[in-house]
Amino acid sequence: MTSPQRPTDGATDPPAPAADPAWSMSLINNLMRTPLDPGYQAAADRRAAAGKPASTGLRSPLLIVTLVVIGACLAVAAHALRVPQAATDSRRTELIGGIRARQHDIAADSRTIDTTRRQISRLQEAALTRQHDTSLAKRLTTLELTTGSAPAHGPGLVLTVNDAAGAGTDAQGNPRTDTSDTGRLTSTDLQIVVNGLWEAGAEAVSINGQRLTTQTAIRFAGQAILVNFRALSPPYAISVIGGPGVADSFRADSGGAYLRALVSDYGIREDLATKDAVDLPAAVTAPLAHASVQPAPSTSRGGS
Amino acid sequence: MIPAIGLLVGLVIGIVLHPDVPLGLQPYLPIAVIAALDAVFGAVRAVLDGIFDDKVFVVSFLSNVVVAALIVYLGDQLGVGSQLSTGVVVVLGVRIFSNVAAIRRHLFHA
Repeated sequence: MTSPQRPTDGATDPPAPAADPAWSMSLINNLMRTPLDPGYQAAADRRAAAGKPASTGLRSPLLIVTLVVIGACLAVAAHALRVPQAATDSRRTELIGGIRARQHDIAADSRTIDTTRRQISRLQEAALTRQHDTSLAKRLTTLELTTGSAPAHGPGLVLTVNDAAGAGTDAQGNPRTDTSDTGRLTSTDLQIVVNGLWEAGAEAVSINGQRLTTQTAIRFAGQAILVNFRALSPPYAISVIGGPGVADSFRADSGGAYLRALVSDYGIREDLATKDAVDLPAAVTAPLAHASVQPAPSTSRGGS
Repeated sequence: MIPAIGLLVGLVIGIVLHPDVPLGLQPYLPIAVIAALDAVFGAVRAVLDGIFDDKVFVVSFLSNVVVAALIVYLGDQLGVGSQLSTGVVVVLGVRIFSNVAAIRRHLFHA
């Protein structure tokens, strides 16, 4: 086995300065080694040739004036370049403060709405019981529960579905800007799963705290799933109130089959937990200002 | 000593008066400042080397600032303003660092 290198070549030659391997870097070397303006050396040589001292000293008015100018330049530049940043900073903090204030307002208003709504239902109940019309009160409660305008409570299950582990999010954790969508739950998936739950006997359903009502739409906006026009982020916790058979009949139904297919084909993660007590919030329903019941032809349904 | 006092006086004047820089000139300010700093550190090194010359200093300062501003202006016109600014900053930064290193060797013999 012979070595491919030739031992005589190069070993005997002395390193010639002309063959500097870094000659292409000479510009940078030059810059690094002689940063001083050659003009100083040239002027010093000229003065030395004329018999004067090499340095002119530091007391010439020209020098002082130049230094004053340089100092003023530094101060002005620092001042001028610093101010805009402070201005944008203050605007930014102002905006953030505005957002915080609005969020605070929204929270306070929501609390007010909640308390007012509770007062309304209490007053309604009181008024109806005063009229000894308990059947009407009961009907009202049932309707409120059915339409989702009252919080619901009862036994049920929580079905948590999540995107596949790989689909995840982008670097910013924002599912809306990511482009890879295999293994991501779509609004259609949620619709089919929720419809399966309804079919299996669910009485009330909410997704991530958004109660599903007759006015609810589960839809897509870009990559985000919107429920009640609120963008939700995974995992999606579908809370269901229903009898003990809901979970089994969901599994046996088309919805459960669809979910199983999602799990096995796309790696969607799901977790179904039966709960003794599930709390569903009330939906924020828009009041019906223009819709009214179509006048029934003669036969009255009465206050059953 | 006197030049340092001059620099301080200039700083104070700039801070006290703080004139508004026209918006059109603002892109040139950082480059001009770095060019001026390069001239100043070169001058300090020349003083320590004992070969300082006030005319050379003034001319180097003025030409540094003008050339730096010109390069940035040209880059802006050609659409490569930020790249050329980076180039100017790198070159002047290297010069400033090696001048400061020479000054340090003069002052501390280290």
